[in-house]
Amino acid sequence: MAKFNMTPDELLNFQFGAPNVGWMEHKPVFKEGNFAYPAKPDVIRDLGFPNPREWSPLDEDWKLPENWMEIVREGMKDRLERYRSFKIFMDICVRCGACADKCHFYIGGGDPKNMPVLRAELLRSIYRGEFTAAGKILGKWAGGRPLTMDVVKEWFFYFYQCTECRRCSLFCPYGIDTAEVTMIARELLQLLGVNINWMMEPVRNCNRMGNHLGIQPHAFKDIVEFLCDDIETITGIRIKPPMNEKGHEVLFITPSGDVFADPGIYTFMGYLMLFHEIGLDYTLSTYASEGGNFGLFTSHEMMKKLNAKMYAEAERLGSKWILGGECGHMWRVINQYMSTHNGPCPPKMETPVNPITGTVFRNATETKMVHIAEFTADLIRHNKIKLDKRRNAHLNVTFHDSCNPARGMGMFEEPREVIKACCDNFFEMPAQTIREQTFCCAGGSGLNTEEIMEIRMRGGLPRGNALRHVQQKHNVNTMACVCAIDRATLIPLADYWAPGVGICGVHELVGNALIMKGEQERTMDLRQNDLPYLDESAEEDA
Amino acid sequence: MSFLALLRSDREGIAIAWRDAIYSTYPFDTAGFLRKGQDEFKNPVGVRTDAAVQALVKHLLEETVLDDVALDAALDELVRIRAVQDFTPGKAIGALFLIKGIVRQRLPKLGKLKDHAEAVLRFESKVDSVALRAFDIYVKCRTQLYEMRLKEIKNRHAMLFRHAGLTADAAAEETPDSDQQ
Repeated sequence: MAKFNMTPDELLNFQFGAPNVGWMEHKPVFKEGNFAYPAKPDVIRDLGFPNPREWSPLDEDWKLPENWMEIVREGMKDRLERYRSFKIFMDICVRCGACADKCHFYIGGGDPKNMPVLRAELLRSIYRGEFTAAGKILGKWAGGRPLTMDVVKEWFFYFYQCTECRRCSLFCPYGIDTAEVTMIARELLQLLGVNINWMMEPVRNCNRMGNHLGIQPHAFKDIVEFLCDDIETITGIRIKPPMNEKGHEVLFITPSGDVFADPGIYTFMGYLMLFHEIGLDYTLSTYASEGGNFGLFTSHEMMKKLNAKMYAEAERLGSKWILGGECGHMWRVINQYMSTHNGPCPPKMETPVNPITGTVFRNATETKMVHIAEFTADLIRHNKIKLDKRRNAHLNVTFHDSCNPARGMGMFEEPREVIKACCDNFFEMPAQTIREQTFCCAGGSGLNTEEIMEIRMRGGLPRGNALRHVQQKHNVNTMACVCAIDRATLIPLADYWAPGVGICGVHELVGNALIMKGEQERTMDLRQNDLPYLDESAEEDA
Repeated sequence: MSFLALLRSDREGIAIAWRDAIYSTYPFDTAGFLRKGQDEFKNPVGVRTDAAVQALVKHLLEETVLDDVALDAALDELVRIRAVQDFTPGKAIGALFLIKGIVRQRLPKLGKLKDHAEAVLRFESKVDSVALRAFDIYVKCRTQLYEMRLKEIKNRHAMLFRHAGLTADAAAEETPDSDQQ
């Protein structure tokens, strides 16, 4: 209890000035709200991962295997040998600090260990201490330190405050990919059974059922039919999407969040309406019912395993190429890892050709996978679909470049072309917050769980701040994106930092604007809200 | 010269000292970053804190105070950020009380404290009332976090609720007639 004779400054008890210990000795304090919950033992057991147990970061004893030090050392040695990139990233950083103020968690939260350079240093210091002669002899004078239990706890604390968005990498003069440093650190933690449920349960479900929520095929099919009911209510047109059918030209794979989660479902309805309208020869699959791949955040081996179903299903169904939905990290896996992991593609697959326009997607020669934004932008360029912008006239739209499609595959223009074809009112956020420099939603890489909402909000400040700017300047009321995680995480982000701005997928805007042959007069948007422009037209007529 | 007029003669000094004191509630390495970055998109915490301090100094030092909307907007700029950062509630709001120490420290250079004893107390009460408003905003922000957590869970499983017949729409469809069919 506070003493009565304390001065106001003593009462406030702020620690001004430099800390009295160096960063190596400064330990994180775990408390509710600043860590994601550990994985449940049955989830870990089902996956055959090490050390399933009940534990909490709040406990002193994390119940690690007895030989945990040996496991970490061996794990690190193995990865240094297998991944040349990891070895280079450990060796070449000169701590210039170019990345220091580029991380959204650092900008919004102010914890110095969230500077990418220092976060990587948490691992690099162990590399030096354990694997370099200078570090072994000179210790911290050479930037090395011994491996201790506190180091493991610190890794868990900070490597689960990195969304692997790679914004810092953009500014690194050496091109160090900090996301890959985080990936290796998380792999090392996995070896000890130190992981989070929000990542591991989707991995387990995907591994067994094919999608993050573990939805079985019949339920998946039922839900798609619900959405077709809604499309019929809105347009008067009954769509019957092919499901698990062999012999179609295209296999369509999208994140399951588009099928199960609000507002992803409206984007999914947009896809189905578009495919119906252009007469695309495609099928959905309940086996490849998930585009997302939380294996990317777990281990290289798990990423490979979960990704394998895409080619396997294309081969089984005899599809020539795969069209992929609006997802973020799915596209990073496809663009960066898929060919190495599971390539070459099945022999009967072909370089994708848009059957409506004849465009050959040469950029997809290797993977045989085309992003839906590229596909739709091509349709629009060739004037193959009719769009009524008036239905989106009440929306002032901005576009959030999702980290992975932007920095992971360099897709900037196509989503914008699609949006502009569907809406008259499009406004960019400031240049230093979009395209390559886009700010993360702060929920990527398996961190979109609700128990760390405050961490997500502080990491979401840079994006929210730019959003508020266009909201105030241009009256923006909608932020579109091409990522299922974004469609979930940007909702609270906007509610907190720019209240009044709604979130939608790009193909929700397409579905709204799309003029379909034989449709009834549209009075509602895909969310079944009245279309405001009709009231305005009626008033003008009166 | 009135007490507030005295303070106004050192207005810029007070504002900078208060702002820097708030920056210094962050870790040592971060305080420098907050101070130096002028780009509101690269350094939103620093720029918003500065904007809030400027508005609050106006409110505390001028004879005419900000109206409630403007005052809340200024406080929101500061408190909304600190409510999600790694601060206890006391330390999040405590940033506002720092101005008391700053004024007490700077006052001897401006005039004699005892000549203005009553005005000092009035000034500090004004700071207290601003802090109470800040506390309201802090609680509003924290409550919003919990509401957003709930909303997110509901959104995530929207179609599963519908599939399981757990939504209001689905319940409405389950009329006795449809049961018989």
